Amino acid sequence: MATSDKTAIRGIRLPSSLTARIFGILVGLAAWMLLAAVFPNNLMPFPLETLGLAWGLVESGVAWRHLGATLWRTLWGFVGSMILGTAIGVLMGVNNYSRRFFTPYVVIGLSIPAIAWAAVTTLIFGFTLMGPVGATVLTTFPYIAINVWKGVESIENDLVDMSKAFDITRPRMLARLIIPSAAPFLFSGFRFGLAISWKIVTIAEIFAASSGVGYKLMQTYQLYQFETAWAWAILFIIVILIVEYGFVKPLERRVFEYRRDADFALLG
Amino acid sequence: MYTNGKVIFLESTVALLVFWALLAHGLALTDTISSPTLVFASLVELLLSGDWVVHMADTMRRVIYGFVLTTIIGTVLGVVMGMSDFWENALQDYITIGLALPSLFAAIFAAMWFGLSDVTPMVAAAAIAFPFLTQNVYEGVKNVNYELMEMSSAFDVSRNRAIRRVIFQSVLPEWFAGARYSFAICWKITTLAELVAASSGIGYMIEFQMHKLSITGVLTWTVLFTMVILFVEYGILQQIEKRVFAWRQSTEIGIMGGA
Amino acid sequence: MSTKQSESVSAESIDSQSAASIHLENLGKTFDTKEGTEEVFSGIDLDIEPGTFVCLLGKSGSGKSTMLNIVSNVLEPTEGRVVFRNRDGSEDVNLGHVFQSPRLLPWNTCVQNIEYVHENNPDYEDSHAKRYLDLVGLKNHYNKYPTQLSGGQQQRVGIARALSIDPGVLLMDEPFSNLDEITAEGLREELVRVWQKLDKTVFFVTHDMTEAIQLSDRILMLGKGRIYGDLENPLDRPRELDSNEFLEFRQKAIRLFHSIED
Repeated sequence: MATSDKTAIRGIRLPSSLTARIFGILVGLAAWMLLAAVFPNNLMPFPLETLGLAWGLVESGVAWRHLGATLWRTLWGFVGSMILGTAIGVLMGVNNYSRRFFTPYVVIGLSIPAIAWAAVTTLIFGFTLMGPVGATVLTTFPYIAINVWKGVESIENDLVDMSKAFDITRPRMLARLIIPSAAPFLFSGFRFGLAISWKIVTIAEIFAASSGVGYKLMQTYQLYQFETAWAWAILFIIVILIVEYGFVKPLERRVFEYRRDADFALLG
Repeated sequence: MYTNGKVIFLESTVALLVFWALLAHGLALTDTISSPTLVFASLVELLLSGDWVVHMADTMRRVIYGFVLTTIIGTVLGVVMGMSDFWENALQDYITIGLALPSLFAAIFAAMWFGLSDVTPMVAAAAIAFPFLTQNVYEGVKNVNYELMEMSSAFDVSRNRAIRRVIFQSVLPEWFAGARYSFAICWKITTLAELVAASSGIGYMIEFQMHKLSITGVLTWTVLFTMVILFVEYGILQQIEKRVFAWRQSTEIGIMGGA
Repeated sequence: MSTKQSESVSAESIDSQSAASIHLENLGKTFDTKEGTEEVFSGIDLDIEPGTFVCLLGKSGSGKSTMLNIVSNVLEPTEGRVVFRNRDGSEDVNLGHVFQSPRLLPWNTCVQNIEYVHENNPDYEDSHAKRYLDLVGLKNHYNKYPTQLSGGQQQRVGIARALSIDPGVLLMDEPFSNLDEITAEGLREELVRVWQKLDKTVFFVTHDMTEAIQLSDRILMLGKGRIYGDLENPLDRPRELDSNEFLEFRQKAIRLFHSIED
């Protein structure tokens, strides 16, 4: 109850929080202008210049090709790491032996840098879809496995006992108790997985592709086209924000309707 | 229980190595996926030659630079955001973007600005890692148990003592968790930045081996670096955390942190 | 013994299976421990008439939870058995459970929480759940989530859920012990009111003498591995907690309760 009061109070003070946000954005823009004025223009273009360049990339169609390639790889990397991560996470939750058996894989997996996987999968699979996707799956799955495992561990024994007392069958328990109970963890694994997949795909594209935002960014750097690099960065951030606010946040709200005052940090 | 755990650990690592070896030798894929024996032989050779020392030292130095910068920015912003509603609102959008920002961007822009110097990995790592620490510190400050503060004032505990014994103590674990997490990010971004712009370091060597098309070389450097990281994370940081925060029941696997 | 009010309005809309009797036959339980076996109780014979409100009273460690778990079929007895019997002699009796904490699914509304336990009931409709929510006084809370309810209201949902499967016997494990005394007292009155409307046998475990006297027809005291007290409750309903009869009976019951040493 106390928390919902707090939200109510916050709701009333919305105007002042809006002022603060606008202030924050203005300060950011001012800092950008200042940097652009101090640095040589090709190192740090002005905001409008950058947007213009970005628009140029969109208009010429180059942007779609590379953004599309990156999105496509992100999708497959994400799906693959969700499958592998969920499988290992569930296995870790099943019993003590399997938890101990799979823990080293997760721990070692967390300690291997993405560039190492990117190099390995490129050498194995060449310039195919499997290169960046493989690197993404291998780097991302441990994070998802941990979240799923925590979700399985979090299921309350009291509720399982209650269900047994009322003779609830296993499929119904799974659908009504186990999955909803693990849902926050599954979801935070999902978000984590998505957020990391973006990052790893762009890294893997340095080696393992001849298209994609990571590839273009590296290329512009090597050709000293720094303004274009900024334009790519802006475009990609816009895409990420669209996915974040247009897709993930609404989904989160729907999934967690019952938790009115729950507070979700971006990355779980 | 303890030995039992060790036995299972051995079983699972051996299972992986055997699977790898069977795949490599059984299907004659040693050129494509190398093999445990090849990597082990090359690792021994590398360790004996001593060439790894300078690269490891360079990488570690850059990781520490980046981590120090991360800690300063992350802690200051986290405290400011936790204490003031205004700054919380003003900065939250930047934290959101910062958390989602692909590391490659930070590495490439740092490389453009600072070239082949230690500043490049330092700035890149800090730019990516600090939002995570800020987030943790901010939540820690927000979640200070005000019942304990009320209790303190009911017992006439001085303000300074309350800050030290309640606020500091309750934020410290969050801070440490965030710091560990951002450390993991720092070494990941440092290797990435070395790949983009450096002439030494682990990231540079992995790229070098990759351009030689030597999978064994790539894996050798990866294994070496992973072992060092595992030692730092579990042999040092986790032990510190266990001692300092013994009062907290924690089952975290730790060492998270997106690349 | 059962005082069913035939003129009650809301009870008419609820078709209730009639109460069942409970029979404990030479019931005993021992646990294996490191130092050998430990006997919780043994040789317990007990017959509980259908429609009776029975309170099982015991101090902590007396084995009352163990006994409830055996009656609920969660634990196997070491010896003897528990039999439930309907008035027509059949032994196919539904058991309704109310737990110490409400044990509601936090992601489901009140109605959905009741619907959850009607897996094998093809005739189930939400109106069924709503009738039982009405019965426990939650008319305006059908679609609320547990977090939006007070602790007392949550436990009401727990009671409605147990009643909704139309049990012959209602098993209650200190259901009000986590609530503040005022809320608990209100809920006890409610529970008696509902029980009077429906024909149910109630097996209620508690460590609180006042609660036992306020609720029960019969009080069983468990300690030292046996039932050492078995009192008929002579008080008429509704019961006034500060009436002389109540206080007198309470005195007598407490003396008996403390007649065995810990």
